[in-house]
Amino acid sequence: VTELELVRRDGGEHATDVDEVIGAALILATAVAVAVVALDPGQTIRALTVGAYLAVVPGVAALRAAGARDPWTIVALGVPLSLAIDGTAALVLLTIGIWQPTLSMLLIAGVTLVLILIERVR
Amino acid sequence: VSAARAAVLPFGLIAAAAVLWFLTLAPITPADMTDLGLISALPIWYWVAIAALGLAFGIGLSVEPFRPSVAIAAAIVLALVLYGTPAIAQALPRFNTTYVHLGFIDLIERTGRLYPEMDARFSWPLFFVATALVSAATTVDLLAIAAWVPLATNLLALPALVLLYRAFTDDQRLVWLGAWVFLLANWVGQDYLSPQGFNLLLLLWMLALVATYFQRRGRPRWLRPGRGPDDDDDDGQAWPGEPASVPYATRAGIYVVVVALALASVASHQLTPFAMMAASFGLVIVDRTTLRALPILIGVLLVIWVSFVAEAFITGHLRDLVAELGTEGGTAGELVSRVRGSPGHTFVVIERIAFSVAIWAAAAIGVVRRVRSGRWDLAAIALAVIPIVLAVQPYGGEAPLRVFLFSLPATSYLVATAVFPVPRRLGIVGVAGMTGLTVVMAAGLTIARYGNELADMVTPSELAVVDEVHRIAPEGAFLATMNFNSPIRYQFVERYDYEEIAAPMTTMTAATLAAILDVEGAGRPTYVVLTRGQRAHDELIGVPPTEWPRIEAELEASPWFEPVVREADGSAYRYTRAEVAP
Repeated sequence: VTELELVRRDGGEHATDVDEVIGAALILATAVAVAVVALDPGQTIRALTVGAYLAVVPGVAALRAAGARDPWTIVALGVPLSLAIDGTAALVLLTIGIWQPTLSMLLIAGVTLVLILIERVR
Repeated sequence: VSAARAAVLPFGLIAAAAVLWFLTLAPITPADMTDLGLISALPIWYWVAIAALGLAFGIGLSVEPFRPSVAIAAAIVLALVLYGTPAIAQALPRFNTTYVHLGFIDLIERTGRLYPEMDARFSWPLFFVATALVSAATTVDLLAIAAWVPLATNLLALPALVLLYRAFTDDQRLVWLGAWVFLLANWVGQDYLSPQGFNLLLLLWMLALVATYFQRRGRPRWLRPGRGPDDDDDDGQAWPGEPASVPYATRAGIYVVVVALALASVASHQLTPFAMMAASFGLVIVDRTTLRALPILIGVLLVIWVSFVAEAFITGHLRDLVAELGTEGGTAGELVSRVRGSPGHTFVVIERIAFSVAIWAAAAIGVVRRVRSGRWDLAAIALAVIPIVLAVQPYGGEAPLRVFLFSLPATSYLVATAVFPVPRRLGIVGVAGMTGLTVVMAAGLTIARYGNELADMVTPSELAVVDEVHRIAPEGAFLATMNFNSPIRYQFVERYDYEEIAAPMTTMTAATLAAILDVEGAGRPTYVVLTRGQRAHDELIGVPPTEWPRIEAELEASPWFEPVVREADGSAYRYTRAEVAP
């Protein structure tokens, strides 16, 4: 175990099968979170899915786009980074006079998809 | 310890500790505690569980080769015990400021606006807006989960600490002991639902990423050849040479993350960005990072934010901020002024100072032992010392606490170096010592962190008083409390004018209170809200226990105060004299 395990060991040149699966999972999580907010299937499902999404996924997508790979570190750093992305998106909308959690969710989902795209391009 | 036992025994001890702690933890009420706080209400089995964890961790450090899995499991359960106990044993989140922040989040969620004119914290709103969004999007009641935030914060801090310490040393025992010490020493309690708790994580992760991906490990440029340890010392630990090269694209990506963390901090807390700037500057001074421009970048972000977003607050408070710089009463004098109150509380305050000094002394011993073994932990020393510059701004009297907190990540590592100045495994005596050290430090932490628990805990009965006042008081009413220590602002903060009566309780009478309310209330519907937490706070700082019953009896007997709420842990009175004869 070295301090460099956070980064891709092959220098980021090749995407692995695991990368493909994680990328697909992040896209799926984004789609599910947006659908749950739109359809509102109940408080418990909404709290679990949307809460987990907002607390983890945007930050994880950002870290993977940055080249990070160690799963535990990504999840742990992903939480504060997700909150930072959530807050920034909501703050941008709030500053221009819009406070709609649904719209904020869509903005965060859009940012997350862009980050996933960046990771794929890298 | 044999290899076979070493493989099974620690995990068994950790599991037994978790089960023992959970099964023996009963609900805790104020009646269970003395003025020593939470420690007076904890069962003996709590300490047995802590000892079992210390023993398991010690055994983990004694095994060759070292297995991180034991340390990880022990650290997670230790965090659960130290930081999860109030969440399980108490009915509601602790700490009145948690409720102030819940009020801000509730306000943003309901109105979609910021209120910088109401409170300075709205000029650094990122954390409040983020949590308001999470609350609104999930429909989760934050009151139900706020008690778990300290545990979550410390668990999320663990990987950052491990990454940071791995940048300091290749000795994995030292890495994990540093993280262990951090959990046992984080008494300041800024990890609740708050911008500063969120920012503690941002700071730790920024430090970890900078120290890992942008580190210099070779001989510092300012250290002349012939001074300090030799380049070719016997085990190559002094100046181990530059780390393996990380691809440029990855470093660029990590740099973007570092800047994003700094930006999030600038937008969410007044003080932490200064700590980030100071820490990165400290690494530059000792030549332990390649990011020499990072402090300047953080400074520019700070100036931009203060100039364009928090400008109104800074302009309005510039004189106060400048006047407080370097004042004796605001920094060192603050520590001395807090040593007062009931006998138990006085002991708690002295113990906090002694505990903090002991941590610093142990860190100093660690530095000496490492230097004598030819290892200069320049990055850790810089990160431990540089937060002292933050004491120049008293920050409402909390500067010494914040200095301790911001230096703690590095200080914890240096404390660990006192045990492991060179790579080695613990012997039997060392394992016993680790068990004892864990119990002693856990006791020190429990007294220091939860010593004000009589005042810090909030009961359902207190919240019922607040809810009832919010139900009956009309919008625009004046709500007075005797001090800050109540959950009265946890919702509807914009509807009322809240005021803490600053007059000393020992001279307070119904007549003097009425005179104050005549002026402050200015003829508006006025309510006086008395809760158990306010009384507990007053009595901890030295107000005689006879004073609150006396005031309550006077209000009951006064024709000017009409009782409108009565609960076990509080009451509220409507003030009627100003309405009759304003």
